[in-house]
Amino acid sequence: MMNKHLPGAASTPRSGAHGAKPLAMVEAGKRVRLKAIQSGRELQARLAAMGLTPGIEIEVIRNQSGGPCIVAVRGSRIMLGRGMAHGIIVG
Amino acid sequence: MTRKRIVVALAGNPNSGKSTIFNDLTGAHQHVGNYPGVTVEKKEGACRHDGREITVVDLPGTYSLSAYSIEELVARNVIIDEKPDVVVDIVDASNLERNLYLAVQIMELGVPLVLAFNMSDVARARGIEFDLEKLSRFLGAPIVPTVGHKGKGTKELLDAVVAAATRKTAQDMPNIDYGREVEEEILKIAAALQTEASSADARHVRWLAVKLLEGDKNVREKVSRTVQEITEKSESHLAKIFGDPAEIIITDRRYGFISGACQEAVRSTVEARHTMSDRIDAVATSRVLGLPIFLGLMYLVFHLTFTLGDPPMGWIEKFFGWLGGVLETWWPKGSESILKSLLVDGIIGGVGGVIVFLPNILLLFLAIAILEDSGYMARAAFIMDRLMHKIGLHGKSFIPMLLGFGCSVPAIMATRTLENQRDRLTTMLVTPLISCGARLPIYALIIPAFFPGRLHAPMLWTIYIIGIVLAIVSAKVLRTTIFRGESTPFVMELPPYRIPTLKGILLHMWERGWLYLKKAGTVILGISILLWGMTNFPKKQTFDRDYETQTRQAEAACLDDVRGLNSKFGLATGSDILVRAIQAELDMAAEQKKHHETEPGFAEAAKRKDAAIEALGRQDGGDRLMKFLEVRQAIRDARAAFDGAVLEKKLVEGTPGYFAARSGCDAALANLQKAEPEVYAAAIRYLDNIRSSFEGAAEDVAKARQAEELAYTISGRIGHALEPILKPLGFDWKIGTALIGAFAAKEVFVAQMGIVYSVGEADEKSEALREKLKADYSPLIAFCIMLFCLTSAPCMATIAITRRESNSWGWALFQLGALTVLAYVLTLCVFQLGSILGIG
Repeated sequence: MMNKHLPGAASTPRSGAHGAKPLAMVEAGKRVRLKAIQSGRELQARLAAMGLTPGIEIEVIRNQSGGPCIVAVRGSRIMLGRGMAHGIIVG
Repeated sequence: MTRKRIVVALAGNPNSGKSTIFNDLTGAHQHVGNYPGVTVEKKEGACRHDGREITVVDLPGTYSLSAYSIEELVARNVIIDEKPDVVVDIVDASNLERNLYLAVQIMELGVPLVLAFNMSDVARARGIEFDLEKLSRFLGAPIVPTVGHKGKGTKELLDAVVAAATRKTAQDMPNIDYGREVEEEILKIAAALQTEASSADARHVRWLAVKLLEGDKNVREKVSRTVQEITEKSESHLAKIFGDPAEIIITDRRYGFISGACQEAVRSTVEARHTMSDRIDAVATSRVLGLPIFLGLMYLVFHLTFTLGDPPMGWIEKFFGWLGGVLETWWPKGSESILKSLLVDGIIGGVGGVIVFLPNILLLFLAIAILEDSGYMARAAFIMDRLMHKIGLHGKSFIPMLLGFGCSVPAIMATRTLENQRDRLTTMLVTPLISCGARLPIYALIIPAFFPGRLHAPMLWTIYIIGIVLAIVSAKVLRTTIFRGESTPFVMELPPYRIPTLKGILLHMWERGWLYLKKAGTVILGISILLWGMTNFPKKQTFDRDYETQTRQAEAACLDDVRGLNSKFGLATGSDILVRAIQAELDMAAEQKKHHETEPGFAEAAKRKDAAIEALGRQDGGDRLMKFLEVRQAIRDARAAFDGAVLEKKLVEGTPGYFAARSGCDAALANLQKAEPEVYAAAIRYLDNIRSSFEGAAEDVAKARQAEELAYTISGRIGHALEPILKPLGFDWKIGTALIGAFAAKEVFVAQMGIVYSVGEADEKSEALREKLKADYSPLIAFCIMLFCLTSAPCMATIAITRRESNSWGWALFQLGALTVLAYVLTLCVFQLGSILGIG
């Protein structure tokens, strides 16, 4: 159950500055790996509790300019405000 | 084995089906309150199992047990401080990994734990297979599969709870291995803690050490400076090694532990948890259809609330009317008893006026419960986020504001769905600016009185728009001043769509409705009594004008006019039998005013009148008198029959039914006229001129007396005292007095204006009141009245509910003060500017 996304993940860059960008810039339907969350400790902890820990694979379900975006992570759908989507760095 | 009561705490992620399990366990035996000092709802229930009394405490739904949110802190403190015998963690089995994160943290606390794998049917249907025994060994806790909405597994869960609570040996719970580097630091901190509090058990010390490393403010405050310093050193050491803060490492290791356990004990063939939901969302949250679907659903909610709520509201109103009537018979009619007035006008009037909204509120909460339990609410927040973001709030705040168009009270209660305190308070404080239903009667009275027909709708629309704009601007201002701070990050789980259970939504609806009744009811009762006192005391003993003489004068004038009728239908000019007959009728009416219809005095008065008239009938010209009375009665009957038919069948002018009733009445009158033209003319003259002008005069006297009494009472005096302050707004003392009444409930403004203007029972359709208002005020003042009523302090129910929901009188009084100031300043500007520009 845990590694079922791995084959897909292998095709995306896993580390390095190359390809790192804010979640807000990722098109819907893409699978990316979470690299860092640029925010205070509190928010980092909240997101981590909801499953958004560095290294985890996330799938962008919906990402429209101006509105919040929806991602799939660890089997649940999480809605992230626009501002936050800019602070989440993925690669 | 002790037979003491078992206390169970129910933990779980939001959307894990926790409340369904809670309802399954406790049924209707629930208790809803707030945790002391915070606005987190506290639910408790009880049940019996195996002859054991079990108390179930429903903890707030959380993802974690950090100190970052009130809910998490509350959940944690209940587990640590209240030491429940067992903690049951409700785990959404179809989303195991994320849900086990909380379970792992409870496990670390070292309390007896039972895991309920809820929605296990869904999980199985999606091809997820568990090796429960293996998983249970990994997590050190028994696992019970449940299906909450079907009530499956409840018995087994209770068995496990009783077993866990009565187990003699401590549950063998594994520790999470945080890796060599982190473990070293945990040991260092634990050692320092141990020397300070030697009695604490090892597991708790370890937990404290982990929490300190996680940067937990709540734990950090409680430990010594030395321990804090050691923790800081450890943190920077770990940050150097890993390049990430310690809590990220710790979280990661916990998830690692869970992954390990799942890989061993869970087989998943397909990932299908969201397929159906995703398909619905493709439509429900789409750019094009999302908003129309949302607006359509909201319209439906309104429609449901305010149309279905109407008939039961009528019943409740009737009930209180009946109750007031029954109570009134306990006193002699016309009695000035203060107790009677307090009971009937103060308590029944005030509390009844609030309970009348209960059907609306229950329906509204029913609709909200359905939207929430089905998972749609999260989608609504998604859709509205884009707009709400612009005013510094996010999507979820939109729902309470929308409900504000109906009534501010349920709207403010609906802010409970907002987790963030700043968002919640902002929304709570600005919601009363959205024009609620109770303000409509004020507009409905004023707009037709002052503005030409073509301006009616635009005027009403303008008022509503002003309210919306003010709410938006105020929210923005609040978010950039007292509730400043980085715009709260918007994170929310989109739960899969689910069909809500009937039991669940009914319980949801009922517990909120009950809170409304109980809490708002008690506060409102108090304020009702206060306002009643203010509009009734002090009582005026001696009046400026002699109203009794005035009444007698009106009576004498009436009898004089009656004497003038003598010659019209064949009575001798000097005859006094008609005058005496009318006198007897007036005497009877005066006497009957003192009695209830059921009392003997009432019937006796009628008998006396009949006897008097019979005696007069035997005198000279008696037959003419009797004829007159007979024709008069026939006219009254014909007219009453017509009015009765219109009222009963709700006939509208211009319809065939109305026409038929009208012509029936006309034909009856024409027959009477044909038979006795002279008597008929005299009777018509009596009814339409003499009698009606007498009644008008008597009513005027009564109303003038009422107005004088009111001016003497506290609220009348406050109105007068306020006049200098209200003058710059264009308001006089009468408006001031009505505004005080409006604080009880906005719609009271209209009734209070009616009393002040001595037009008796006024409602928004009262033409008489409109005429008087028109004579006294300009359209500019009229607009200012509406503006002030729209903006100013909401009714006392709103203040009471803000107090309740914010858990602070401070915010409630701030709301009261700020809105009053806003209303004053705004109205002042509009009136002064309008006056200078010569508008109105």
